[in-house]
Amino acid sequence: MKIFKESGFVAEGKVLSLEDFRLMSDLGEFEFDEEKKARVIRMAEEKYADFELKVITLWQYRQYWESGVLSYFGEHFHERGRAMLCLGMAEYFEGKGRFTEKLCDVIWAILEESTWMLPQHSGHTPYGGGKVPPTVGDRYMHGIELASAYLSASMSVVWHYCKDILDGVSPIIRERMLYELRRRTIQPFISTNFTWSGIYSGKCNNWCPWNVSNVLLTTALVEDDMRVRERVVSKSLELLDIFVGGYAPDGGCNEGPTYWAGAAGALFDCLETLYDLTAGELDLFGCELVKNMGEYIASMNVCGQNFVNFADGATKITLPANLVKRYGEKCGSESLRSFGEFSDGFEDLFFHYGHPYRTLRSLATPTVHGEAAMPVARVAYYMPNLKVATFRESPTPSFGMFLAIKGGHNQESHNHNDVGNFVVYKNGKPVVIDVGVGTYTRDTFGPKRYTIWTMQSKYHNLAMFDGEGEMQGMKYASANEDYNEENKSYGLNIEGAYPASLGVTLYRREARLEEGAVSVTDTVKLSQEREMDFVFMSHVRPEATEEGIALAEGCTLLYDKALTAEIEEFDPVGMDALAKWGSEKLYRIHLCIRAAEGRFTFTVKA
Amino acid sequence: MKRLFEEKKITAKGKLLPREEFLRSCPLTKPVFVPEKMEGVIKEAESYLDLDIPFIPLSAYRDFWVTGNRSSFGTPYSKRRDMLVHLSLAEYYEHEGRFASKLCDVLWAVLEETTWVKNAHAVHNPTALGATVPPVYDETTLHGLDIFSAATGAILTMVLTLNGDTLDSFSPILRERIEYEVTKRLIKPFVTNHHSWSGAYGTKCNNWCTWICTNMLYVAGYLEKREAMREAIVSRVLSYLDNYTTYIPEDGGCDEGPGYWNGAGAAYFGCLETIHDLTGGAIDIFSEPLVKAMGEYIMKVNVNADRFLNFADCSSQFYADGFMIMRFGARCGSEALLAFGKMMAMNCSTRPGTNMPVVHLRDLQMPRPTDATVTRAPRSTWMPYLKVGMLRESEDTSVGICIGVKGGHNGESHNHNDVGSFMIYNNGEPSVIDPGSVSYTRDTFGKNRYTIWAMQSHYHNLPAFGGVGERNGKQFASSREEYDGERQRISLGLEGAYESAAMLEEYTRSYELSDGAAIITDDIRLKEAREIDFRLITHRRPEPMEDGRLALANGVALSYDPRLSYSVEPFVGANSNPMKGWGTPELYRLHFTLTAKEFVGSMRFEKI
Repeated sequence: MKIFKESGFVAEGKVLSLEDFRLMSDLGEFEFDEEKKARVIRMAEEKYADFELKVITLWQYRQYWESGVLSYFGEHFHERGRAMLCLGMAEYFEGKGRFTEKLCDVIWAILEESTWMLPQHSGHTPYGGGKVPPTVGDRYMHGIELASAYLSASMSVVWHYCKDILDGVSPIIRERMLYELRRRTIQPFISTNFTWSGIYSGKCNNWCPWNVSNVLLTTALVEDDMRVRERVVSKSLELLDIFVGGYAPDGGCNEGPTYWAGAAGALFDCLETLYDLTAGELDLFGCELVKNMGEYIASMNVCGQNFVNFADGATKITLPANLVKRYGEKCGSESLRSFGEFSDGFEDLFFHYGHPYRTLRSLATPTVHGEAAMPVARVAYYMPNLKVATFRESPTPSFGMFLAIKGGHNQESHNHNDVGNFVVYKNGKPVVIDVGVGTYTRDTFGPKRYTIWTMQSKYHNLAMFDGEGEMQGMKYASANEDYNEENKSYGLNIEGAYPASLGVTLYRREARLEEGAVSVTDTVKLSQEREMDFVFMSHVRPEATEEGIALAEGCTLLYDKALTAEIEEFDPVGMDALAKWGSEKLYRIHLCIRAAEGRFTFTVKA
Repeated sequence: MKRLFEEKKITAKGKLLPREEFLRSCPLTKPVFVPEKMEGVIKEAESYLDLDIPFIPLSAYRDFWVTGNRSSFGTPYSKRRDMLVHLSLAEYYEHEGRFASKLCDVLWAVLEETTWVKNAHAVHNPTALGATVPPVYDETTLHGLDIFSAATGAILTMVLTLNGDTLDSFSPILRERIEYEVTKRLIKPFVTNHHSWSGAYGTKCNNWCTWICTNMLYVAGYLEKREAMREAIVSRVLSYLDNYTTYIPEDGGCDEGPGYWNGAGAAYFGCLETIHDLTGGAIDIFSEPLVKAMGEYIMKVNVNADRFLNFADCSSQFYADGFMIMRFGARCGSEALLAFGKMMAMNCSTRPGTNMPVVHLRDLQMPRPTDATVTRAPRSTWMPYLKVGMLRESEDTSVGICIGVKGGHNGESHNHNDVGSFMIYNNGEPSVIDPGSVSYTRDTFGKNRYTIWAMQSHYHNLPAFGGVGERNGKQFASSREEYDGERQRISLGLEGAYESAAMLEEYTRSYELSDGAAIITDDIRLKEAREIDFRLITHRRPEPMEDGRLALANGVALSYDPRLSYSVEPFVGANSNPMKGWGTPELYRLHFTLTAKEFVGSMRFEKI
């Protein structure tokens, strides 16, 4: 659905000039929140006032190719950007000149960088990436990717708010800032089509709205050429339509909830900035699809900061809560609004380096203190396009059992081979888990992706046969999905997710949320006898008991005693499991039988 | 005054070898370095492998204007170039890839610098005069051109030439960017603008002119590919070199002093060497008397070994680049200069600097001489135009008393108000000194220059009258200069060098070497009585002797006129580094005073 095209809005003549533009126009005349101002100033004092600038070397840059370590380059590169935004806003708020010299030093260092693109994304340069950034004057156009876009947006915020501060040192500083912003971001956006835009393939992911939100902010705040402003707006609408066009009417995000903030969340940022740029003429908050895209995040919430984390999903997500709240308000969704209000208690992301616009929004919004009402969650929800079903015992997220289960195929965005995987929570806390993903390396998005253990079905709550699991690719998919809201059950066939060579002729999984329990029944038929291994993932050491196997939160896994149980502790390579799961080691429960067919029920009892 | 190329009708037109032929024939293309000289280079390059490249923040650039400090920018700026030169030479010589990664890192950092023009020289930027932030960041704004940006471009040209294959192993972008930046920052401004240091607008040239031309020639030879542009650069250099020699007197004297001579007269020679290479010898003026004189100057201001007459902004103790002087002597047919060069080359440092890469590329190919003889010098020398001379007790420079004398005027390049000042040496080591140069600050080359103590006649071996000293300006000069080489006597009229408030009618000072004693005689007539304070600067506290004389450093005793009252004032001058050359943090200003309207008297320096 091309929601922008269908709105009939055309940018020519409708975009406000640089002088007339007002960011966050819905706030009218406003003051930034005093408490947040003080926090920014404190952050500047403690973290960035004595920030030591260091040379960023070609050696660091090419480590992406040579050792695969991204932090040698990324750490200092990103810290500069954070320092710039923090020192800039702190100086703007305090106005005593305390941070001015350091701010200018950081800005100038960034302006002198040959490239603002991360080496792992350097392929987005129109002339191709390489171990040395292809920067020779203006000979080679700069590319746009996530980091260069959010760095530009941060710089444009500082350019706007610190005008007098910087001009007081020398007008050449802001002159060069404008020059580089145009050269590296605004002009390439207009004149080049990047693969992340989806223009060539017709498909895109969170990169598209995320980059567009930062390009819009940059242009809105610094560009005075009206034709350029209009062109950026109209191209943005075109790209955002490609993005939204990839969503089913249910608004489900196939990248998972971790990416929601960069996907639908960034779309919302775009909508607000476009509203500001057009004095309210471009207003799509009432669009049904936009609303559903917002509500997705509420539906994927288990409890508090725990979310269903299929694929490259984080276990705990801290949402830009005031964005979620406004999203609910402007789109007329009380569940989303209340969910945002409740989540504000968790948000310490008042400083959003990747989304500088959210920093400004957050600084303008006072923190909600005290207990907000717990949101009322849906007890059963299904996204037919994504093929994700969620069930709860109770509308109170902190009470009772929770089940989420997914179908789909194995070529989704951020895919793991996990068709048919499920997770179980009790009282909002994890019991049977999806381990999620480790630290991104060079292999994460390359041809070796599926050599990484987190991507393999063998490390999900699925069966393997003779040690083999699911295969990646779009044809490896589920079928015959059956969602029953009344029964709180979901059934699907997942034999198609396994390679034909394994001869899985039938693998039907039926999952159901009962009172105080989750039951999963797997019916399997193979073309020959094989070692069937039904795997269950746990973050606490499972203990064999008389009944079954003891899991987290006092739950017990009951299983058919025809199966032999083996508990395996393993080292989660490339993952900071301690941070993610509170445990350095993770565990795989293997329930095994050698057979050609069988029907096995597994029950997680509260 | 001579415009050598113009007068001899020598132009670059059609004279340059085609580029490929030049590259084949010039010994700088694939230099063969002397292994002993590379040990130190490699050791220093190794020390840089784990050294973080110093960061240069904008605030350091702006310090020159905000606090007046030059070193917060200058130190990291220079360090990067030291690293670059050493890593480049080491990698070229060893060629095993050990230094390759670090070389590229330093190279990239220098390429990312917004400007290569030193902050203190920002006045040479054609745009945004007075800007405290480099106003060049886009593609079209012309960069300024100063000695250090030209040197940077030459260093990068050296990296391109010596390490091209190493750079290519990382990416062709490295070569491409070097060519792009050097073309933009050096070649384009050089051929588009005439800069004030070029002499094209009639201002007097100094070492900047020759130093920059040396580097531009190397860049033209090795980086510029367009034949027409190579010729254009050389043509321009010839006219600039003529501008330089316009101000060189027949005696070849360098009014900037022996320290700056390396960038001045020596750099002129350096240009001739590269021009010779570029033209396959078609342009060759080494035999010109003026060129020879510019070379021999350095001998005439050398006291002995590493001691030079350090008038003006000059260090007192250093070995000049003997290898370059040897080439100078050989090319110009001066046996004496060749021998002098050999002596210097036995002792001088072979560490490559960052100012003129082409000189080091030649030097590193020459082994240390082993047959240098003790230098001998004429007992009396006097450069009549420069008005600097020496009287020696012995032809053996390491033996006996020596007086260094300068007349001239107070409008020289790097001027100190020191007309009539002198120095006393014994056995080649100093007894009465000229404090020389101090660290450069924002005031050094500005209107406040003469507020700096080291520039004032009050801190030279000169009298003050009622506290009033000499004045800066070309018109404040010596007169009635007399030189008698046989008799070893020099005489100068000095009243013209002083402020009118000194109330001088006439003041003649003579310097004489007689029977192993240096005798300085002052004949003063004032318009009215004043306190006359004769000052001497020493680096050791004088010891009173039993016979009333004062024992100075290096076995020299001073007898002074009994009518004078003596006092000694220790001092440490701001921004000075007296450890350099004197080995002590403290200097001494001796005062010999009386009040009179007329005075004739002598100071006598002889061996104890």
